[in-house]
Amino acid sequence: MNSKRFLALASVAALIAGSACSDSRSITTEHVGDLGFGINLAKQVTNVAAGTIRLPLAPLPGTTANADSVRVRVIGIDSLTTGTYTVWFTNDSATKWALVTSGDLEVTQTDSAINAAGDRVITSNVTRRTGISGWRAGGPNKRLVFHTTRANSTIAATDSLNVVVVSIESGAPGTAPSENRILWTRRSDRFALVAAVVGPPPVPAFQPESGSIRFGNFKPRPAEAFIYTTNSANGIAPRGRIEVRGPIFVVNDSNYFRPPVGFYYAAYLIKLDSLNKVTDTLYLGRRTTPYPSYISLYNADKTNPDPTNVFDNPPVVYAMGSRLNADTIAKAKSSDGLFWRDFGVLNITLENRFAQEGRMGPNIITTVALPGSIRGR
Amino acid sequence: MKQVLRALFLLAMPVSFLGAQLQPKSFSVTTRVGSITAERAASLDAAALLGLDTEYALTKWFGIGTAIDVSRGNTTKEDFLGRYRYGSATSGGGDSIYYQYLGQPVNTVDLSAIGVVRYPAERISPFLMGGVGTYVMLLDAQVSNGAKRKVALSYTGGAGIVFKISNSTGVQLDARAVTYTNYDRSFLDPSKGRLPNFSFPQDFPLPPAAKKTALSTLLTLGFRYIPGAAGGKN
Repeated sequence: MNSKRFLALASVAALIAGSACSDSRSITTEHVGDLGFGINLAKQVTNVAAGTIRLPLAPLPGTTANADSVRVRVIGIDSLTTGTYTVWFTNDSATKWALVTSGDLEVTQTDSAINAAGDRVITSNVTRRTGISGWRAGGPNKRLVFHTTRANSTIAATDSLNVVVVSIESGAPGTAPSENRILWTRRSDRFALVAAVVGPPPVPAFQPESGSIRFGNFKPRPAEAFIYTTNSANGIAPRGRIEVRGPIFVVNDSNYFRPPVGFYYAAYLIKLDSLNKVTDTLYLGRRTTPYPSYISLYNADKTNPDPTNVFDNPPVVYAMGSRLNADTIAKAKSSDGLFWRDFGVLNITLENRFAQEGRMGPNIITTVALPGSIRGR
Repeated sequence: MKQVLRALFLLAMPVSFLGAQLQPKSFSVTTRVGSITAERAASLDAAALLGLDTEYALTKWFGIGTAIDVSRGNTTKEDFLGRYRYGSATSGGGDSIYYQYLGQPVNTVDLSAIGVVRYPAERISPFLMGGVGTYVMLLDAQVSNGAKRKVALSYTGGAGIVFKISNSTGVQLDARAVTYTNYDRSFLDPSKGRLPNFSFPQDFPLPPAAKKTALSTLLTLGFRYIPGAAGGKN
């Protein structure tokens, strides 16, 4: 072999070996891309629908109107745009339904403001309407009391009144409530009698004819009813985490009860000024399953859109996720080019389908105050 | 790495001047340099390779022997993303996260028993070879927090040509395919899955689906030496 041929072969070998060598090291200690900042969500234990319902003293008609009085006291319901809150009476097994045709509604709205001295000033305003068959009022700062009697309903004198149900009717009520039977109290749910205490001071007792409102999906059999709760019943407590990385804002959370029929989960960001006063609310949309499917959970109240992430028994949304890009949300990009600046709070809410979408309702299920690394101060 | 290859290349050069072509009932030794390129799913970058073949010619058509291939390459670091979190996830200040590629060097030794079928010719002899053996992957002890080793079966198949220089020397050019069985890409992950990127999965390229085997292609140039060859023809 002459030297030229040998050199050619040697060059081929060198090229092969050289192409396999790289100056870039596999071990790196530098981060890749933007830094991320995050914080965990915290469970919000209030603001879901709650209250009491006073039932008549006896299942059958009493001798006085007071004995047949029914009083629904409720907070945590949203104002409706398309439906009407409607009250129904029924018997234990819900075989006969009676529509409440008339009652009086008292709405107490409580507002707070900061006066010139920097003190908080709380004001209440009461609105009353009489002779109504239903209502649309509600909101995070409203307490509602609906008063009626057995006589103001279609219940027959021979029928028992053992359950009071509040439904949402999208049209004229029929002979039975719609599927949105969201609030109820049974006679068997009434508070226990408080034993008399001898001597002053007098002990305030619950009214024995009242019981706590149940919020969820009413069923004739109590064991089949779904009661929505945020008190960690059955060990089901929502939790999650948000993270921001550059323009991307992600929410990954889990372990929520499935929404009652007529409800869905949504997310909102709240913008605060330097005094922590709310300046804007950004609707982040209906919640979806997490990456990679991002299936809408809007219909998870009645159907199971993704059995991997939504369970039927127990009725739990195992995982939800949201991914937002500030590049596509005008409000999320400030004039100085920073992303998510001044957004101080994230809320995961339970929203009513019959309320205005995009306006945050009263039912905040989890929340978090965003740290300064995200908020920009 | 380039200096090492250059030194080995120079060491192999003298062999080519000794001259020979294989005779029945004789041994040959081939030193090889080249590259090894794994399929993408293996998460191994291309690397330089050194090989040593020994062969005993049963006939002038057929020989048996051993092959050793040694390489020190890098894992494909983009396939091993680590998510590090600092700070408190529950306090007001929150936490900070950064992402880092967790690559590391990997030493691989493949030892095989091989069989070679040749077509002997005056100047150029093509050949086919195949073998079975075992491969050993040794991870970086510092990156992987201790000595980690994987041993499993390997298969080799290939073809090449030998250019005769003299009766005792030749130059060999070959291409081989080596299949590592029982391959486990997660073995190459220093974090062992403890630092998953669950928050921004779509912002980083995902590695291809893992496979139970890894196919690598070897391209090498070798210098063949037949000790004691004393002239004659194939």
